Amino acid sequence: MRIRLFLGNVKSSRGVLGKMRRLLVCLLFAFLLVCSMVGLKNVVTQHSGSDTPVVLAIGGGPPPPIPGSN
Amino acid sequence: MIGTYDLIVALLSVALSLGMVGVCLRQKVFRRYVFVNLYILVSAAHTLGTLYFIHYYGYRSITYFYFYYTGDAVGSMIGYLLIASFFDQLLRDSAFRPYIRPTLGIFFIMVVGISALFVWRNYSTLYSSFLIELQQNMFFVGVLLTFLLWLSMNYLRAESRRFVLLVSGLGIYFSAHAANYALQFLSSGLKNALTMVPPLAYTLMVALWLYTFWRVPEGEAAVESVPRPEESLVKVKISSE
Repeated sequence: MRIRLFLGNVKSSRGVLGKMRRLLVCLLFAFLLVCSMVGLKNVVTQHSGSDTPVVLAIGGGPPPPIPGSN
Repeated sequence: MIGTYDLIVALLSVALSLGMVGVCLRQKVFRRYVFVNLYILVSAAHTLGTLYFIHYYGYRSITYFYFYYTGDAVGSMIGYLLIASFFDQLLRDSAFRPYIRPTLGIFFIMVVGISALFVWRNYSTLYSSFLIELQQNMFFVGVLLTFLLWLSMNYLRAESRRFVLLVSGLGIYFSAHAANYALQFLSSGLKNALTMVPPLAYTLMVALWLYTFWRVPEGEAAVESVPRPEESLVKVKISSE
């Protein structure tokens, strides 16, 4: 019920005001996600003690060494 | 040169990827799961490209470095679209449906903006710094969104077993990366051994997806419906009468 009130009625969200409200809600959600991502990253990397980046391998190939890192 | 282990894992991942795409084409579900297949095809091409560049330019060459991270950035973006498509599929009947695509679009622009903001002072190594920063941020985005996807899936009770297994594959991939990342900090002596984990995690994900498309039918339910205790009690009463 609270979610319904927050998001409003989808059918009545047409028109300029409806679109603006929808855009605002999307911006809010996106901002929350960005804050969560940055927070998660800070929590994880603050104990690292080095600037070694995380290696995210999308394929099966070995990731190359970072220039300047050991 | 790369070792035998890396070569075997790379070739195995390419073989599994092509097998998965072949199964999708045979079952005529390629368009239905277009982002999964696109992601797998791009990753397989990237893997073959890494083998080519290592062979001709060397593992420690700057050419391989740029190829790897540029390809990885493209793959991460398609991976992001894949997670977004899972969200779109999961929340299609909920009140959040009109908000999913704009939110994830704005979120992606913000992540790219933040990545650029963090590195814009490094003029000399702007491109490489940006690629590494973007890759790190996309990793945390992937972890966060997969976790939210898993929570939503449990809360909304996803109906399709195939969908659950596809999301589980992503979970294996990102959780293995996260555990690997944490272990690198805990024990620096294991660093060389731990670099073997990311390609293996990717290969396991592809293997699970291949199993999903090969052995799990399209309409199979995620969980069998279990009757509640009071319902079974009522049935006993009726049958005793």
